[in-house]
Amino acid sequence: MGGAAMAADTCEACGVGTVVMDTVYGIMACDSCGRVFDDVETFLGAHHQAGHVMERGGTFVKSTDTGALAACGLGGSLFRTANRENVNRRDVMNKMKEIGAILRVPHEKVEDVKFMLERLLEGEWGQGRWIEVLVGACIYVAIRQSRLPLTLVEVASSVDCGIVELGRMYRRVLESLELELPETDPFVFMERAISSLALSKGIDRDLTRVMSKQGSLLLECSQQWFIITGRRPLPVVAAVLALVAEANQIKFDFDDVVREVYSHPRTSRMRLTELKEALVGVGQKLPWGKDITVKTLDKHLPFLLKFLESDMKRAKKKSCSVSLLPLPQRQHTRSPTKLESSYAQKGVESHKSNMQPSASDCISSAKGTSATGRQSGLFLEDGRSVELKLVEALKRKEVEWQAWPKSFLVGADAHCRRRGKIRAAMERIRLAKQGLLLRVDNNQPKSSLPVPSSDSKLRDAERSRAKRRKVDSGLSLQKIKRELDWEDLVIEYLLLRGVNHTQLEDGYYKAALGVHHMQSTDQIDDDELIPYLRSKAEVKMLRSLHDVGDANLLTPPV
Amino acid sequence: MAEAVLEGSQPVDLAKHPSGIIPTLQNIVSTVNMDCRLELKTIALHARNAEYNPKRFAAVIMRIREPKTTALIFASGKMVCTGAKSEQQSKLAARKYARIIQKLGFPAQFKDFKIQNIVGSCDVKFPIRLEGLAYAHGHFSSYEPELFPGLIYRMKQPKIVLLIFVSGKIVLTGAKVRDEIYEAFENIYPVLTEFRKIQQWYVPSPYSDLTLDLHVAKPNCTDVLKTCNSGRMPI
Repeated sequence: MGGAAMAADTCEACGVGTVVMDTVYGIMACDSCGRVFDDVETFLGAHHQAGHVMERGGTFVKSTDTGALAACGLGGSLFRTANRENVNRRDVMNKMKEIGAILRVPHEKVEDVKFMLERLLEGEWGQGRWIEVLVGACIYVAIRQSRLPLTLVEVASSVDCGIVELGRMYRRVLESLELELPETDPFVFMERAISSLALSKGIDRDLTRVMSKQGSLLLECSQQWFIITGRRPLPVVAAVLALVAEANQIKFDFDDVVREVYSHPRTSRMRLTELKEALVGVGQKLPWGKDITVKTLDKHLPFLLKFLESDMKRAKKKSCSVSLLPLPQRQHTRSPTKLESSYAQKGVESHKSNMQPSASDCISSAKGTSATGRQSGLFLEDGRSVELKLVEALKRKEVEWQAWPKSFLVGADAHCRRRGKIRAAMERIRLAKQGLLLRVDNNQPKSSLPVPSSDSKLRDAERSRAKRRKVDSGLSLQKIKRELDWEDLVIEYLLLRGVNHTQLEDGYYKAALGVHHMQSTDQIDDDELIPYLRSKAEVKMLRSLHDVGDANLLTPPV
Repeated sequence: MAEAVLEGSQPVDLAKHPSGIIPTLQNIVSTVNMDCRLELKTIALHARNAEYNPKRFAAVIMRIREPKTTALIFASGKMVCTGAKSEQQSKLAARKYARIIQKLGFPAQFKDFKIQNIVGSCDVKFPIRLEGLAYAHGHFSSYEPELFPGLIYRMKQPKIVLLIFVSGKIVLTGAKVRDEIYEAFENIYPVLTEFRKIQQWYVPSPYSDLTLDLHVAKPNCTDVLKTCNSGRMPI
């Protein structure tokens, strides 16, 4: 190659491009015409690869003659002549421009990314996949700083790496640069998706604006209803978009929406269902909303959205007047995340006065008037206009609907179930104790006095009654036994050892068993170690099976 | 005696745990130096409870049943013991591993035993608004729902990392002694209460009445939530 090509860095074939090292295949090739200068292979051997395609960290060849090339004894001299640092730097810059172009990163942001990379690498420009991931992470950080719509998923797909790998790098970048980024704002993704879908469907600007407003409202609500908390925001955005389109009678293919926001279709559908359920929950609290179900929601959706909008406005006004902490302007205008934060701040203030910022605070700005509202039954009249209904509903401050995170409900359910099991176990233990006491009593020598014959009938009746009771209790015991499962037995075992009920309710059986199962002795008996050791015959057999001299895999049968 | 066992749930020391919740220790990681070079192949050959695949990992993975733990034994004689539920158990397990190594003919000692990490978890039993917490405690917390559903809270004193989930479940890690876990939880609990959705709705001691009324119906989750929603629960 090489020597000439490396020295001049200009392709001999086309005279335009630069000869660069392909880190994946470990070959020198022109970045313009693609000509391969395979002399490297001649020098290093066909087995050589400067950077393996599957190698996460890449191969970073240092000037101190370490790494794969240096291992072949050629790295140092080869790269010194090639001006390695410059080549690597140019390579990284090209990569950055390439990824930036795919992600349509603005020019000024590209400069930011460049600055970040220079600060992070401090002149040690490497090669391999990790550098691409680093470039992707820096781009994401730069974009996120200016609250532009770009998701980790998009970056990961353009860098061709996993989201976890990218996320790990992103965290490292944040730590190294000591940056604090604003939280992800789902609204920007929704706006982007709406504008893009509006373009494809030819929707006019006014309607787009209305949709954007409704979407923003629903995103705010979904945050207050715990639909978005602790979940990926993009599926929620897709669900909101689908609902908004439905409310405005625009036919969108849900798969198109999902594709537009880079979310998973199944998760997006789940979020859509959750959002619909939440809206139904709100709607049913209205006096005329008994017939609002998931199926009939599309009919009521425009009204519900209008209602929520008006109510939210009132809540915001109230919160603005109440709020003691100064907050940035935008928080009150559009960002649901920021709005949530304002609630949180309000929460800090209101904690002392025992007022919790909750969904009901926003959906219903006041409490305590629901009873009178429901009793009057004015809203049940047919033929009223939506506006009239809306005004009256707002007057009455009717809606009081509480949303709960699904994971919390599942946890609460499991708690209730376990509590029931604990009660049952305690009951069983009590019965067993009673039975034991009875048996002890029966075994005690009875009084030797003869029983009067006149009482014999009575005694017989008593005996038969006792027999029946015994049969009944036997049946119930059988029933109990049939219903018992491993969890009941574990609970019983732990209860008998005095384990804390809270621990059992929380379902920390393994931890409880770990602590209480053991006989608390610090002495190690040699006999208990014998089962862990193989006999001489076993070892001999194993030696014959494996050629121990070469064997590098010794895994015992489980 | 049996009554004592059934009543058994020891009362929480409110002076030590003002929140009334004691985090449960889930894992203890400890290290020990056996101070001798080890032939890992020999160990894998002679021990029934060992697995060794140098291509995958350069240590013998050994397990014992009592205490149920796993150890990573390195050729340098150093050992990492994981999976114990208490510090004593971790030490006992490490001693057992060292004894097994001794039995295999190596001059293993038991030097520099140290607890490296303690992991605890608990449930505060109310939902938490993670967005609000992330905003108010931005310097300590990282909330990236695209990457991880929980909020990562890096407490400075004690130096503990907490994973806080919307469901109210908390994981605490990074402690060297169990008191650090308890202290970290007691520090975070008032913060969490500021960002909870409602007041705690779980009945604190549902078993206290059992001796009086043994036929109380199983509590129904929906009923509890209904009661909760109607705001009738005691605050």
